Amino acid sequence: MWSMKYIEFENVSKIFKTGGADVAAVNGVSFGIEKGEFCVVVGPSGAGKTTLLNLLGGMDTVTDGKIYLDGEAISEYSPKRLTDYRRYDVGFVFQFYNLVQNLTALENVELAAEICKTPLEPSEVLKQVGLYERKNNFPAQLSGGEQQRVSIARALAKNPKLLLCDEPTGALDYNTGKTILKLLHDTCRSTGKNVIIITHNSALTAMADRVIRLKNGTVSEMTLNDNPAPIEEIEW
Amino acid sequence: MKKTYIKLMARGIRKSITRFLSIFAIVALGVGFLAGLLATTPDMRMTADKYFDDSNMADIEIKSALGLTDEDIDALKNQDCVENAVGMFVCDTVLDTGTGSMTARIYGFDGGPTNNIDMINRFELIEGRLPESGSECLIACPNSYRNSLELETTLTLSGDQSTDILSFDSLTPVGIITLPTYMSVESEPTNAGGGTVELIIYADSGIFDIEGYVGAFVTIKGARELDTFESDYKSLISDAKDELGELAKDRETARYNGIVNDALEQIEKSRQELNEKKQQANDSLSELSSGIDSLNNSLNSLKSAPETAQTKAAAEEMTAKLGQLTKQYEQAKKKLDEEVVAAEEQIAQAKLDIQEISKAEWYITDRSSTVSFSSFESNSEKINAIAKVFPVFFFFVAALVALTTMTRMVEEERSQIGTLKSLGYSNGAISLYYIGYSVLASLTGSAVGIVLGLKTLPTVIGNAYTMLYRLPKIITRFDLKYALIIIPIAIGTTTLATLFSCINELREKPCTLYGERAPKVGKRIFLERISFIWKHMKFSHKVTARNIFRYKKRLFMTVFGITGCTALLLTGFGLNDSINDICDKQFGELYKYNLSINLKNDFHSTADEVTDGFLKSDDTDSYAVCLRRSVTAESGDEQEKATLISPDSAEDFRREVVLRNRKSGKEVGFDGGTVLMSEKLAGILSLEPGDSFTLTDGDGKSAELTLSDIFEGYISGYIYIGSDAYRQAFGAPEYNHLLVTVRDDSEETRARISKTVLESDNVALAQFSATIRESFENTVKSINYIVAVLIAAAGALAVIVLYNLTNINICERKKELGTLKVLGFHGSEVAGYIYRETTILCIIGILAGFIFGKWLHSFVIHTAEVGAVMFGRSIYPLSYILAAFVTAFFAGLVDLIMLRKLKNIDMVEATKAND
Repeated sequence: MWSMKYIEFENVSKIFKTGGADVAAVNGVSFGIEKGEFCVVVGPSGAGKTTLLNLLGGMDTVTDGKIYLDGEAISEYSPKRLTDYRRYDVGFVFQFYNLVQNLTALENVELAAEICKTPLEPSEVLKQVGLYERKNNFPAQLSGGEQQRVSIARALAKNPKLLLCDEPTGALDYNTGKTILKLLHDTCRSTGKNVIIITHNSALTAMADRVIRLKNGTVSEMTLNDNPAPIEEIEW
Repeated sequence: MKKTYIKLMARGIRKSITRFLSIFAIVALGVGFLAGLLATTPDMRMTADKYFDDSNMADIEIKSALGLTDEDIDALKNQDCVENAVGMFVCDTVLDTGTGSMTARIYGFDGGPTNNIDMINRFELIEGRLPESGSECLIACPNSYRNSLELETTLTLSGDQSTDILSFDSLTPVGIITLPTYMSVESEPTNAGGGTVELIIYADSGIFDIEGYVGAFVTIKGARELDTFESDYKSLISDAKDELGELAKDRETARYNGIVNDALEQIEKSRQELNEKKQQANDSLSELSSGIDSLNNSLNSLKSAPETAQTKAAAEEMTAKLGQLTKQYEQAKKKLDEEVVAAEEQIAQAKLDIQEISKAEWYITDRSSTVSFSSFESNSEKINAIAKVFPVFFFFVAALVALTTMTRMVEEERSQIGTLKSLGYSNGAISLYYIGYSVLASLTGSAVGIVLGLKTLPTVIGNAYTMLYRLPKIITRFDLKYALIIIPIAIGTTTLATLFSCINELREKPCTLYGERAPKVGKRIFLERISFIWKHMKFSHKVTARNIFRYKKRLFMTVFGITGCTALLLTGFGLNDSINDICDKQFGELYKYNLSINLKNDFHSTADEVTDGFLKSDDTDSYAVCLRRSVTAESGDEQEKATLISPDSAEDFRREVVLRNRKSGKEVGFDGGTVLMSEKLAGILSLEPGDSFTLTDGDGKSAELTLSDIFEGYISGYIYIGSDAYRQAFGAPEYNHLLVTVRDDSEETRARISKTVLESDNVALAQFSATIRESFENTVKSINYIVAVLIAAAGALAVIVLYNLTNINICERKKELGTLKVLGFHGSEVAGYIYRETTILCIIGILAGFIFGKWLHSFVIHTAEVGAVMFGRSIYPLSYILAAFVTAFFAGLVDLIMLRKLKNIDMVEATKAND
């Protein structure tokens, strides 16, 4: 029996039943990720990347197989336990930020921090992402990049075990995107927490410790980078 | 609750304040109506009860044919159950007013009518002053529509209706009062005069010419603290009546014995007097006799003496004197004998009369024996029936509005919910926000609704009822009971709706919440199968047709809201029609005559130049001679007062009164043998043509009659009987009523004719229909209050529901509408897209509203009708048009408000992907 990695997917499938045909978004996927790795999941549209992340983030349930985090089978969790899981163990960054429109930047972060056991100081985290001056602005008053940074701050403030990011730079321009990625990478290195990024941009695989390629709901390839390139050097 | 989360909730409310207000408003409306209507009857009754208590109204009234003595009153006061008893005088009679006559109920009080602390049935002086002498009095006219009297009019006892207990030269009213015992416009029945009491008089007891009192007013211990309409009061009074009944037996016997003893004493005294007088007379006779004897002796001695001229003259003188005295003696003796015989006869008769005296029973009655009280009691009950229907309707709508609003809210905030879920907020915490939202909205709505409803509705409805009852200002009571029951129900209803929509949403996984909910699947509709129509429809119309059926839930709700609005409006306008009908139909169509005259004696057998002259003059077009009496009609368990009219000539009568059947619209036949009854009266007695019923007249005589047909009539119950049928049932008729059609009905002519006609000795009353109609129409205006309330409620309902639905409609289809704009549709075309659907739904709703409204109107009319008065049944076309028009107006108003929202849809925003 091999030793389980920090994150372990064991023959996981997710099948969506939609009236007519059944769609297997994730089809018998197995892999492992070590603690503290910066992992990038790539694949074309419809490959199952988002579904995979949702499963890992406790926002959806598997149809088949098991998912382990730090030895615990989170795929077996009851809905209530899953809520706690999302509360304490996961930080999620969405492609379209999903900030609460009625709260300021600082409040958006506080909203997440308040319910955690050991959160980070919200204003500190905002400072970290460089948005302390905009802490009293509402999302509508922030640009895309700024909103994404608030979103990241929110995820970080929770002090989770892992940070999951679904196309974090999808809605951002080239330079802003790079800044965001650097931030994520630095966080990964400085806190030693897992960061998993989903993207359809293959160029980003260069900065990852581990690359997982998805195609048609299965892992087509998984590679390890011994020397991940710094983001500043990556061009696309 | 975490600080930021609370901030989120608070801001959420502020941002969607119109949504918050929608729920707030509809809950306030529903709760206000329910509480207000439920409180109306108790408030009205409480107002009446307090009025009675403040006026120290009698709980029990006692009357006896032999009257009551001071000892009786004292005996009453000493009874355990009695708080106070006051002797009183009362008599019903007909009074001459100088210009006519009125049937009056006269009350007499020792020391004149005052409002001191001991007085039972205290009055309120509303005009004029208190009497200052025994020939002044106070008057009350409960039915001031039909009867009124000017102050300072001299009242005298009508010659032919003299009673043996009233005796006065004249009585002058100097003040007008209101009485708690006569607060209804429905007149109390009586045996005197025309059969109903038209005037109440409070006067000094000096005008009553009897020993002792006619009766007594009694108040019962402990009654004041109770509510006069409740069962504990009723059983208290019932027990008191039993107790007094026992007392009555003793007092009746005592009274009887007292009277008989007094009479016997009188007879004894008379006999003694007779004996004395006889003695006196006999003494005088003896004197006279001895005078005659001594004269005789003198004459004889003179005759036996030698005859001289002197002696001859003296003898002649003596003989003459002797003759005189003898004659005197004989006359006196004769007279004495006659008078003694007469006196003996009188005494013998008196002895017989004493035997005729029967023991008089005490009539012990309570408040429910007066029409004023009992009709108020039953009428205030009617409102409860209406109170149960209306609010249910509003509550239903409130629940629906809450459901759609909260569903919409939860859907709109899908992604926020998803975010919260992903952050690890539990379902409970998330739904708490929405539940909290709806609880807050419905709590504040209920609170405001209850306060407003309890304050305004009882007052408004109570005021409308002042048309029939003179009450002090309605007391609006804030009873916590309503709040404690209704508020939880209201909150529960809306919360349940919210919970329902929350549960659905929260069941989904967070990830699915991010995506917009897939728009409702388009489907083919039935109309498409009818290819003939479908082919020729414009494209935009096709889309409209599909959309209407696509959103079935909203379709149902819109139609329902519009239906409710139209129905309420139709009921309101219809009520107006129905009330107006009473006057318009009755006086405009059915009564052709415009003047009615009440006579004192039979028309045919009384010489009356004035009246005859008037009837033959140019002023009169036609007239009919009839008999008019107050009767009681009975059938099975039902009994109802009515007015009986029997015309001398059926043909003349038909010229003055239109007889038709409302339902069939056909004329009703009438000849000597016909028996007709007005529609409402027949309904109360459950009679159909062919059924038989009993009629009892004012004298107590009854007859059984068979109903020939039913005729249309609105004001109180009438029975028309042909002359032959009347003769058979009651004997020879006394024709005391004339129905006259006057050629010129102008005010000046009316005044002139009145003056002329009232000069006749035989005329008791001359009344123009125009006068009755005018005063009736004035007071009917208070019904407009209720109509206004209905219209306001309808409007509020329509606006809230429509606003809500249109809002949701637009929000849900923002993408759709934005796309249209992108494609190049003009603003008006985009608006048309939405409004076409709304308009069609509106039309469907209005049509459905006509049907529902007609039913609702009929329900309200049947429930609210009082006694034998019948409200018009029809709703006129104008009301339908108005109801439709006003509904459309409110709908249009909402559309206008929404137009701005449509204009503001940013087509770019709308077409962007999520968030």
